[in-house]
Amino acid sequence: MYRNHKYFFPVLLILLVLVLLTAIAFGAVSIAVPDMFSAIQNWVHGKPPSNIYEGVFLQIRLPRVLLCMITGAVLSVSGVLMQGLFRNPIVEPGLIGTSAGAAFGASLVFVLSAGMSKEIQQIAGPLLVPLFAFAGGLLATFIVYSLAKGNKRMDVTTLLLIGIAVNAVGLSGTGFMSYIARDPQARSITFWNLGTFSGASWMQVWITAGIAAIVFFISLQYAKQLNTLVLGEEEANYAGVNTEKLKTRIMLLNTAMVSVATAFVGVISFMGLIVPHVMRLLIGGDNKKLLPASMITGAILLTLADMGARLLLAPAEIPIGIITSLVGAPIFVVLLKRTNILNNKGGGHD
Amino acid sequence: MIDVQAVSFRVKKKTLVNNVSLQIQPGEFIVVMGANGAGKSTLLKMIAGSLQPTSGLVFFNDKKLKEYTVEELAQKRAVLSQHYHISFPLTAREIVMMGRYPYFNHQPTHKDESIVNEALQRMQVQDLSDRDYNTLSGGEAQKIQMCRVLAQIGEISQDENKLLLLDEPVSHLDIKYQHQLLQQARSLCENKVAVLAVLHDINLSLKYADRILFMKDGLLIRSLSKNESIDAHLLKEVFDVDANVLTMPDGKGKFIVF
Repeated sequence: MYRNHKYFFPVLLILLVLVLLTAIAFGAVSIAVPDMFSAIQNWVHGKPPSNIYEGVFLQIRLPRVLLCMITGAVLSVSGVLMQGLFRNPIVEPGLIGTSAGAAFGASLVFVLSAGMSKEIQQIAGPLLVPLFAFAGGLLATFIVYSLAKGNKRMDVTTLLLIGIAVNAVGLSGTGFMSYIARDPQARSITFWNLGTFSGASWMQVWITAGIAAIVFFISLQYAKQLNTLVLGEEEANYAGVNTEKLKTRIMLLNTAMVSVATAFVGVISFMGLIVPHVMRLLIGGDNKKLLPASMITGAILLTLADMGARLLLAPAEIPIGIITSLVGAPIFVVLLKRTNILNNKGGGHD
Repeated sequence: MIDVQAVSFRVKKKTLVNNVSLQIQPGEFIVVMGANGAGKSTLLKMIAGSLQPTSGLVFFNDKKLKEYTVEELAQKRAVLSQHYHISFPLTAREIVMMGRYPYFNHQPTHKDESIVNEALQRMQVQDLSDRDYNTLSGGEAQKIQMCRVLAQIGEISQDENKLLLLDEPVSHLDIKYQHQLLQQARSLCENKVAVLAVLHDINLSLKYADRILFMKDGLLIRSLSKNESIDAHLLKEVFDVDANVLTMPDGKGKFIVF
């Protein structure tokens, strides 16, 4: 069915590097390639940036582009994991409550810590925000999962409707937090709902990268087991997979990764949906190939979307979620229609 | 090798399987028959280990079934279920390779590849191997799933007892492949693999089974071995239809006409 694309991964990697360089170069301030190199040289030798371009590159552009790439990879890998787990191609963290729950958890800390002492505020940013985002994301995902599971058979319609309900609760919670916030920055509700990379910092890059690297590595170990889930849970069990253990682990890992990313950049919808879908069309459904392919492609596409967000209405900035939703929603509708047809034909048996 | 001791399975107030005991020897081909809702699949799932009996015990090679880990069990028994609906694009070969998953870590070995090839060849479906599983017909998909469980049984060594469980394995197959599939299962028996299959066709059962178990309302009402002859009373009791038991033209064995 699929030819063995020998050049698939090399081409993806070359694209990744090209997109990385382009995304760094273009923006409100353009940065030339020699400035990038001299900035890195100065940084390695512990010297301060020698001109404003180097400063912009090191302090603003580079962390932003890196955070964007990691987030794109995180959301896409999460899409693959969640779709494998729910055995359904239309699941993604934005639809099943993970993102909304995480955003609520993060906004809770963000707003409540504003009135507290300096010490608390200092640990709040890097530590408490991801932690609460994780708790919020996990709670929301768990509620959606267990309600949709109901009496053993997972019904897609139920899943989506419960997802809508839990999302609504999460978003109104976030909205309320923004409403009572004194800090004008926290009042910006668009940040949580539509996502932006404008506040990217090196701290956020390191935390997200660390967690993402661990989760990516572990996910690859589970790729084979995740494959067997397509046969159904009982059959996966017959094939030697402890499905309960697998589900719990994947869910925890995935939620940790998505929640932390969401805590820093807000809710970015549809990435986890589009990327795995396109990759399946190109290289098939084997998770061993699908996971790394989605990871790289996700990084590329979200970086391109962020360039769009920065450049389309420059010097103003569009929230990136608007762009991903505009592109993602039509694809989602097409997928939904195709899934329905499939279900009718195959009897939708789980 | 399999010792089922007085197992029952109840859901709420309904008893799906009621106090069933049976033994399976290595190399034996057992067919379970009965009307819809007689408890055949439930019994099969308890022997497979995916349903815990409400009461009673199942032993596999003298060890309690529930004391095996899923990983251990996957190398000793394979199960062909009734329905497979797959929501992602995977090739037929990728599905068959899943039968080898319990045996390798990341990349399939040469041995795994050759066992997969052999399974495809046994069911005569080599030309389906690169097709998208979702584009296969019901019968083709069933053959591919059979290949997967054949691959999972894999190599047979004389000192290891393996078990193959088939739940209505021929429901979508044409006559030729019904025999093809059951012959393949039968040939495993010659290598000491025990087979337990749920079938609806009494004539297929008579042809291939060493022993036929008849179930009704959760009870095991009769165990008919190959040298016992079948009678119309039994069929009336189990299926509630009037049947004629005829002798084969060659004088060996019986066949049933309804």
